[in-house]
Formats: sequence, structure tokens, C-alpha cells
Amino acid sequence: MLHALLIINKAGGLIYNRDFTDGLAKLTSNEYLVMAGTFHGVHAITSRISPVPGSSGMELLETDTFKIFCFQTLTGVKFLLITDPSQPNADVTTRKVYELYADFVMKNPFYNPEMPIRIDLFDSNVQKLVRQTNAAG
Amino acid sequence: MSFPAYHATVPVQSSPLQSVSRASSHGRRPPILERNLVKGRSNEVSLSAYAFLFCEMLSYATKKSSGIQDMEKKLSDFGYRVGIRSLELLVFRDRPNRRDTRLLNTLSFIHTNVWKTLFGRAADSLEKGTDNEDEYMISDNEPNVTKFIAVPKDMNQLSCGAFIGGIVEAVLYGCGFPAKVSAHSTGSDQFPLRTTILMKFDKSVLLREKGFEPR
Amino acid sequence: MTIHNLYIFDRHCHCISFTSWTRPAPPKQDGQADTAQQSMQATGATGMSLEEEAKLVYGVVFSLRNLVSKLAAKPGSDGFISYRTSTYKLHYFETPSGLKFVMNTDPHAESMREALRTIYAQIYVEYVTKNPLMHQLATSGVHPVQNDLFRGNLQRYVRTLPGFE
Repeated sequence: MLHALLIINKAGGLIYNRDFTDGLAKLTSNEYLVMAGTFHGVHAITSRISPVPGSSGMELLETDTFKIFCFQTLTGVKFLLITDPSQPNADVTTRKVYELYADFVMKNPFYNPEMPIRIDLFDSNVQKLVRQTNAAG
Repeated sequence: MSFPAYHATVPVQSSPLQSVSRASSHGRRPPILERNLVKGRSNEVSLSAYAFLFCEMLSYATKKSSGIQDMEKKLSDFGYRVGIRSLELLVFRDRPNRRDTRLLNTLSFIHTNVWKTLFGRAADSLEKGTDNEDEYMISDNEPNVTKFIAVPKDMNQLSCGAFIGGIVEAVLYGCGFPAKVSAHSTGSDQFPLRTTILMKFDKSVLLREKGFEPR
Repeated sequence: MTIHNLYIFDRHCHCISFTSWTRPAPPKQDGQADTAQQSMQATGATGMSLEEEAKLVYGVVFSLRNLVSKLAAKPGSDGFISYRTSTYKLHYFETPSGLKFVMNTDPHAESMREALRTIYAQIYVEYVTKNPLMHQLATSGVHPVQNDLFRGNLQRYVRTLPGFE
């Protein structure tokens, strides 16, 4: 079950967030912004405190009530997918979201890079992907 | 050019540096002007590359225009330049030494041949306008040109299909069927990007058409 | 599987103990892990002093713990369990008294939650909390966790864990 999707730009700003279920606490948009900033910072530190050299940033965070999959692209955009703890491999889904992002956000002439994403076509395609994934799981 | 399936990879014309290394292993591809005019699969252009180019065309048009109508006019002009040139190529490739004089044949030529060459598949429908004798419509359920474009709410009159409209207008003009062409977004729930190209033909075309009918 | 290291933080966010199993320990030859203070100056894979590194680790788990409790629908759950990157996995366990146990393993390790619990309940409580000399040690400026009994038992236990190599 996918609970929510967040997209964080390379400067740590939240540019997209959607809840798909009621599985998480309801946060205000301001709280989400703060959370994205925190996550961005923590993500950078996690690659520095590795006991083994050459670590990536955080890829999967587990808690007893949910999991956060984080996929960072080479350009520094982070896709955060918050799922049920039992969700098997949502990293595949994060790649699919990236594909949708490349298609419907970056190829949209009315979108300004690094700005919040308000694009119906992207929304509807994300919804479709989430419905498919949630129905299959 | 034509737009094949989603995300097809393309042998893009390589930079000099790459072509040197490629030439040693695979042999050099001839430059575009030296290639055969007859269509082959290798003449396809990546949809993504095209989409980014169209993005820039749109933002250029936005910057240079005063309003939505003006912008559609610009897009249509861009399309006109594409249309008039691709007609030349198409006639050479698909129907050497033939010239259609009938309206319906020309329309189906656009609906099928032009669409296939430019977009990789035929358009979805070709209809005659119900209200007016001189109106015809070609609809595409998901035009490649606007596949990734969501028009923001404050510009919702804008139809980016104006570019296709311009192409159609040029082809019709080139074939000797002058018409006023406009593009309209006719999205439904099933096909949110559906675009209809409305063609309103010149009186002379209809008169000539009448003349062809058996007395 | 590999177990890299173990940090223990008290509730005043001091790193009271650090044990490493993979980091080469130059000062001592007997393979015994260093005490926190002695090795604070050493640098590891991160290229920072241990003190600095411990602060960052604490910062990360503290932020994540807050972030998780904010997102969780039902409050009061244990929350944050672990995270992984491409090269390591960090396991987290917090006691009701505010002690924090942080263990780094390789990224494919199973959950170490039970192991951390055991370290707390059967080693920390037994050899630190129940240590009658605890207060004397505390007043002399050395944290009571710095005793051989605790360290020895910790070593013995971790070496029996399925992930230890």
C-alpha cells in the first residue's frame, strides 16, 4: 500500500506532495516543508557517517508503522515514497514515478524547474500508477 | 521525421568527436543531406528530443506574443513551415507523379499519409461538419505533439495543437485546397488530450468540387 | 554479513560508548575495542574525529526519530527502527529511560532490534546499572559504562550474533 509521495528538489525544497490514503498523520503544508528540509539534511549526513567509504544517502527508512523509500536521481532530485511496512519493492515504483516526472513535468513547457509541481497530467498519471500498485499489492 | 513509440531511442546525429570513434567500429553514417529521401525506419526522431524542442518553441512563442490568440498564430506559423516542406517530401515518397483533385482523397491523404509520416500512425477520425457544408474535422486522441503538455488553468483556451493545425493548413494549401484551419482541445475523460483540427474550406474549393460531380 | 560498530548515547546526547569491530584499532594490539574517550581522537572511514562523527550520528537519529513520530498516525509507537544506504544499515533502539543504542551493519543484515534489546537488558542493565560502584565512578568523571565487565560481555555477546564475521 502506498501512502504518500513527496518530491524534493536539489536544494531541499518540497516541490510535490500527495497523500493517497489515511494511513499517515495529517500534516499542514508548512510541516511538510519543514519535514522535507530535515530529510534533505539528514540524507546528506547519512552518506558521511558511513562506516564504509563511498556510501549513498539513505535509501530505505523502516519504522513500525511505515517505510520510506528514497530515490535520489543523478541531478539531485529526491523521490520519497511512504508505504506500508509490508510493501515489498517500492523502489521499482519510485523509478516509475521518475519516468512520469521526466515525461510530464520536465517535458511540459509551462513548468519552471525547481518550482512546485502543479500539473494535472502528472497528477492523473501518478494517481493511475498508485491505483495499479495498490490494487496489485 | 516521424515520432515512433514512446521513448524510442534514436541514432542522433553524433558530434564530431563521437563520429570519429564510431567510424572506426561501425562505419560513418552519412550526413542528413546525403541520405536517401525514401523513408526508412532510421529516419525517426526521439519523441523526448522532439518534446524538449517543442517546449522551447512554446516558451519562445509565449515570450514573443501578446496573448493567447497571438500565441496560437505563432504556433500555427511554425507548423506552416513544417507542413509546406514535408508535403514536398511526402509527395515525392508516397505518390510520385500523382495529383489529387478531389477533396475527400486529399483529406484522407492528410488523415493517413501525413499523419503516419509525421506522427507514426494515422489520425483517429475524419468527419464532415454537421452544421456547415464547408467544414471538415480531423481528430487525434493523443497527439504526439502535445502528449506531455498540461496547459495551466489560467491559459485554458490555448490549444497547443495549433502547431498541427498549421501543418494541415500548409498541406492543404500546397495541394491546392486553401482553407482556414483551427485547432481545438476536445478532451474527454477517456482522452484528456484529444485535439480536433477544424478545416473550413475556401468557396473556390467547394465550387470546383461541385463541378466534378456528374450532371 | 558484517557488524561495523555500536554507539550508545545517554539522554544528554553524549556518546558514552563506542565499539568498532571493523575499524582497525591501532592503539591497542589485543583486538579489544577502545574505550570511548581513548578513541575519540582516532579517525575512521568517515575522515572525522570520532567525537564529530558521534555528534552527526546522534543528529541523524534524533532528527529521524522526530520526523517519524510526526508522520506516524498513532502516537506513542516505537517509531524509527532502521535505515539503510548502499553500504550500511543503521539500527536504532531507544529505551524508555532515553538511552539510545545505534548499531551499523552491512545493508543486507536482518533487523538487529532484538540484539540491541538484549544488549540493553542483559548487558547494560546487568553490568552498568547494577554496578554498585556506579556512583563512585560517575563522580570521578568516568562514565560507569567504561568497565571491563561490560566491555567483555558485550564483545562475547556480539561475537555470537548470526551476523558477526
